[in-house]
Amino acid sequence: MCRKIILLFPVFVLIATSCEKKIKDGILPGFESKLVVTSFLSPADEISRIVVTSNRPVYGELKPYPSPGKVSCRISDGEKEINLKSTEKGYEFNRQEMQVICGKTYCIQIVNEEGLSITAKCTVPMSFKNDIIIDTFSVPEEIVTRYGTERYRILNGIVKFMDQPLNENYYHIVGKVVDYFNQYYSFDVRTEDIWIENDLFTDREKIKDGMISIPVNLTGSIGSADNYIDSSFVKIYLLDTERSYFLYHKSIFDYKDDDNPFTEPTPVFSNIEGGLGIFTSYVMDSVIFRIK
Amino acid sequence: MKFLSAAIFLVFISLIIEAQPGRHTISGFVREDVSGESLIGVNIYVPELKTGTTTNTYGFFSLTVPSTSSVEIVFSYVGYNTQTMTIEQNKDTELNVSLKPGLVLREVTVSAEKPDKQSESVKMSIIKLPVSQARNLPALLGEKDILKVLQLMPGIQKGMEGSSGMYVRGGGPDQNLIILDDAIVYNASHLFGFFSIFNGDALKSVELTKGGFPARYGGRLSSVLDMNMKDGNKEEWHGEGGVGIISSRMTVEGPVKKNKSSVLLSGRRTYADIVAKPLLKSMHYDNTGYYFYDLNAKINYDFGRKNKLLLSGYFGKDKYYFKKILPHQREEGGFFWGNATATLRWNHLFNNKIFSNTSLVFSNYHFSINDNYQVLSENKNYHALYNSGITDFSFKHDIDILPGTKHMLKTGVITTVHEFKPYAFVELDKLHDIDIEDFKSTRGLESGVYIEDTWQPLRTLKINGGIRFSHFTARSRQYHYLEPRISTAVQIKHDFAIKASYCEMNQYIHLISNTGISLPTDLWVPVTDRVKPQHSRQVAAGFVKDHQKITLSVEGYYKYMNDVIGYKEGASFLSLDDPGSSAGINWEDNVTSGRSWSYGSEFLIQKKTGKLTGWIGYTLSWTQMQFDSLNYGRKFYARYDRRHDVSVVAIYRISERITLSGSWVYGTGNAVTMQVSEYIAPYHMYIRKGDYHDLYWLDRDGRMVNDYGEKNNIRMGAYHRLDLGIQIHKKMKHWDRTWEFSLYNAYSRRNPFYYYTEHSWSKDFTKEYYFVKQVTLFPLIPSVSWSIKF
Repeated sequence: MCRKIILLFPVFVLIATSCEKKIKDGILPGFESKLVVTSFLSPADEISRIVVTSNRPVYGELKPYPSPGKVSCRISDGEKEINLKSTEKGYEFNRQEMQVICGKTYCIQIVNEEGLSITAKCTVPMSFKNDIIIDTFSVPEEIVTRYGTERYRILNGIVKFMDQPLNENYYHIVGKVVDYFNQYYSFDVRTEDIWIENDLFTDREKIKDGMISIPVNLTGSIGSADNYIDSSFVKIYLLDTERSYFLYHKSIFDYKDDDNPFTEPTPVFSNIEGGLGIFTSYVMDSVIFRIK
Repeated sequence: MKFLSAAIFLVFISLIIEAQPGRHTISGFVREDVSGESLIGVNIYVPELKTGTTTNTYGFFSLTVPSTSSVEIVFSYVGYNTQTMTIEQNKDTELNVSLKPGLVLREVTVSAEKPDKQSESVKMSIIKLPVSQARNLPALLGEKDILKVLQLMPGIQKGMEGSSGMYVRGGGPDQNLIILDDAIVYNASHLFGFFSIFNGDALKSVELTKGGFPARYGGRLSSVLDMNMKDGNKEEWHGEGGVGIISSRMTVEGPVKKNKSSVLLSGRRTYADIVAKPLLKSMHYDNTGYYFYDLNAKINYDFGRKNKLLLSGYFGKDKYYFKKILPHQREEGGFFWGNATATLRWNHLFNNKIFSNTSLVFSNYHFSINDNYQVLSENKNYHALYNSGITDFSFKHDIDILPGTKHMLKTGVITTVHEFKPYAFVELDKLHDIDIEDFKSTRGLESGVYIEDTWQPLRTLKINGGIRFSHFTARSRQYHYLEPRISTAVQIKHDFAIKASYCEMNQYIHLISNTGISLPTDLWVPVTDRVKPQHSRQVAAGFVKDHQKITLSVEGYYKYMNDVIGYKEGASFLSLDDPGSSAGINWEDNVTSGRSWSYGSEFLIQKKTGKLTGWIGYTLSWTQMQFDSLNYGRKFYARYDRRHDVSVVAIYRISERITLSGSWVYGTGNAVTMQVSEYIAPYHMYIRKGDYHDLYWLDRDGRMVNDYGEKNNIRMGAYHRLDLGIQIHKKMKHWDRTWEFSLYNAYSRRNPFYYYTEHSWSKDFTKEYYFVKQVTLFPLIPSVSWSIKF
């Protein structure tokens, strides 16, 4: 039995005998329309993108998210300023228009036709030679059969890299497995994400002797015995990010929207002045390891 | 430092002057006539010399006056007939006084220093609550509660509807030191805070200090609630008891050896489990129940005039249990929490000017959850047990030195060994091959040494000054602080005084709770390397005006607290659905430190005598907090920030038989955080982690989240409530009996307990709606109770 019920049951009994009523709108916080901006800048990207959406009221009739409308989006690197062009995927600029450079600070200003405006800035982290390696895959490709004919691949390894000698660094590790299939003489590629526990961290949590080690585990189904993998690669991406990137994602993962009215809410981090969302940056290093 | 040295030097000079020959000492004990109960805080006044003293916690007094042929001394105490005695003053005199309870027993008086004038006392920010007062006021379900009455005083707020938690001058409920016969009580709540554990029938005195703390108190930032149990009637056996809607109580007291030794036993038990059984049965929880009980016991023995031994204890428990038996499975479990305290005290009179008390104290708070599940067909079972708590062993020694009328010295030492057990978890699951055992325990040593003096250098000037050295050791980390304390009173006129005080306090124990209401899962933890002691500095000033039957007091205060504890957003200390993870949670990772400011004004008008008695209290206050890691580092109002707090209390004695009472309270609503909008928060290169139960994960690229704006951004609706009561007394042949009928929330105000968001669809399911609902806990609740006294 859920132990939460054990503990809160008497409270529920009391509350069950209580009264409820709908409260007047006057007590509720008023809705303020805001622009929601999301952007992750990186020097490695050929095209940099800023996505602009809107928030919506939570009380009353729930309507679809409103369009932000026609938006003017400008970015500046301290030396020049450009207008971003609107595309299906958001507002973009490419390297030729403005290059994202390590150590530089970028400011954006977005205004829509209703007068909503936001500003934000980010400073791209300095690039650093992390010497990222994948160390010790204990079982390069262990295939086990479970539940009859279902085949599972188990990979274990440790990703190691040098920590930047700054006060505090923020990292994000992403892993993928790319399988090239040769099935009935038809080639196919499948990319599968590797789930890495605690993939978002600061160096203070993990560092030892200047190095950081992250265990990586992949346990995934590779289908029935008829599938045949020709070759496999593990790709590990190490993102050295700004503090705002870390705070934003950590707050999303810590975000709770449960029914307990007595717990503190968990707001999502934002560095957008006058709006919501995140404008941040990172630099990336990667390593590829061939399994098969 | 130079100033401190000079002050100490002056005190010693005046002491030497006091010790000159030509003076004699009158000392002794003041007790209640018939019962022999020692009386605390009795005013002893010498009109001719315009000086006096008061009895200490054990009823002892000492008064050194110039040698004369005779001197008149007045003994006066609230609720008792004043007694005047003429003493031959040519030698040291031992004098034991018995005061008779006054004719008017049910008058309401609060914080009355005799001759019933607060203007003549140096103390400020103190509330002395006659226990009898709590019996006269209407209460929730008829359960008289000392803490609920204290919440009616300015500067003291309740947390939530029905809660007995106290928020004193902007401080949280963990910042109150609650002492019962020298023992600290860690969780003073029954039924999740709806009632306190204190049975008024067993109490002799209740005194709450919310500022200007004398040096003998330490360890908490916001208040000290010092309560003493009755000693027991040394003359003859008496008792009292009562039957109410949800509980009954009985107290008996009497002599073990007449005039030498007495005993008191007081017990209370609820029968809420019996009352709720039909409701629970309708919900198919036949074998489910909840009850609480408490038991107070005290025995004392007088070894002559100079030595007295007292042993007292409190034992109380809340228990919830359930049992479910089905054809193929069986489950039972529940939880309980409780306090146990024991105090052994030795009073010793060195001479007619030096009195000492030595105490050995044990205090324990314990909370436990258990769950046992058995699949009968497979003969496999599941067992989980979670414990947490705190245990104290204390040694305390206090000395009262009364060299003369101008000085009242107190000095002492206290040492406490705390044993903290934030959790102990055992899970044995034979169904899924789980076997976990985890145990966390730590010890801390807390000590304090103090000296204080109440000095009256001039007839119109009184100063209580002192210094306390406090120390705490845990996990090889040590903290120590000097805590200066001073309060002064200047009597401008015979019935008008201006007072001011300053104090610094430190707190080495924190109460961790992330639920916002008082739950037994709240953890008491010590300071560590990462979580430092909390500090406060408070300055207060005000005036008191006594006018015939009415006293007016106005007080302003400013309190700054730093290193206060706040909970990181999303923190959880007891993940009951996943006990394996909770066993690994470190509470230090889930808290953060910040600062708090609290300031305001308190107004109190009291009428203490006559047929109509009562008071009107008003508090205007602000409480703000700031944490670097909360609310983006911006200041915000505390949840319990209450701008206006009003109490109107009246007791009208129509006749000897009938007493009417009523109270009306008003308070600004609590500050809570509510969402202002929602939006999609995309994330970068993230992998869905299998939270497929969460409907709000739209796709693997983002999550729908709420925007809250500022923390505690809205005010719940104002709280106000009227309680009415009528008591009908009758003197029977062998006992006195009282019927009481009361209405809690007489006009059934729907006060907000909490808000929540509800979702609905239009009839054709084309439109979706969200709206906010308010839950009200207690509508109008009538109650009846019957009590006797014999």
